[in-house]
Amino acid sequence: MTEQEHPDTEDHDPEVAELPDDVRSGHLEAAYTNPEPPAAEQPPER
Amino acid sequence: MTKNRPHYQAQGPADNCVINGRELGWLSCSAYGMAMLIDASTFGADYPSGCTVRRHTGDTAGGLTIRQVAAVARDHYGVTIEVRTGSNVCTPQYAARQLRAGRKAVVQGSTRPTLSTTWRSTSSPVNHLVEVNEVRGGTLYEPDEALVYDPAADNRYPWVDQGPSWWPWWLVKQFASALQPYGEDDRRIVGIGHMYAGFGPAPHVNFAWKGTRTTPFPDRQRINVPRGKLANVRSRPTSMSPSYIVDRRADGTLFEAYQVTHGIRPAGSTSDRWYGDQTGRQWVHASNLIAKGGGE
Repeated sequence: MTEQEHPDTEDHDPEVAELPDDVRSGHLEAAYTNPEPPAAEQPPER
Repeated sequence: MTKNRPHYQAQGPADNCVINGRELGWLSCSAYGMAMLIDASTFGADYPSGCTVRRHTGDTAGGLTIRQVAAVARDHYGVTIEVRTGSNVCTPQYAARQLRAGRKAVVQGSTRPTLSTTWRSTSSPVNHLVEVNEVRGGTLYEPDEALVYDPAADNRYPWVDQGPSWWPWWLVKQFASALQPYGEDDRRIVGIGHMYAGFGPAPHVNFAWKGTRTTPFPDRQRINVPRGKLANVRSRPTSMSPSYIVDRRADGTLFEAYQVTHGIRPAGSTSDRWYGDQTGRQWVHASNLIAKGGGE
């Protein structure tokens, strides 16, 4: 089947087979300091 | 107000945490999240700042791991953290069960799923850490909501949430499963059913008046009194004196019993059974309670 036959799909983020013990969080400072709101496809839900 | 809620700590701005001349505020979500867990798990006896936790790690480069901040909790504050990462990663169901039993958690995830919600705290996806303090509603393994202390949710811009906030549990799960274990430049995620987390100790109970552990533990009960009545909450289960009444609870309100003992038998009752709270300072007679279920 081609991609055109499945228009309502999106790329699947591949999952990791073996998980590392240590993951650093908070590494990308720019994600916190950019004053622009995220480019949301839809209005924020609550 | 629940007693074991921490004071909210914002990680930002950058100069909120300066170590050796380096501005580390925005790189220290893990340290601030763990600081709030220490605060909550010790009932406020220890309430380090996130920057102090960071300083204890000795690491001033980039983000931090759960193991790094867990070691600080153990070595400097005596708070033992069960680290569930990597091959020992836990499920959201396990996490829900621990939270239900009163344990506090730090959870790593990606902010990607939050970006289209009002709980967002970053402008783009980033591996992040939040403190999850408690859950409510739903079932034992699938709560409705979680009280989340997101150290980046400081309302610094109008679109940034102000923590703490009740997140729907599905968002907590999505946040956790979206974690990118090899960094934000690698599309791989830990995936559904996985939660990188650290859990604080089970709540300490101050057993008093020869109280023993309830089964289940805690025993989530509700006040059960006739219309127009309030249940007396007493500081001791051994006297009916009005001077020991410390609170009065309405019908249907939750009472989490951690201990049970034999005390005075109120006139007209056939039971001398009393249920006590976590502190051992609040007691309700069995006749005023109805089991709700829940606990371990």
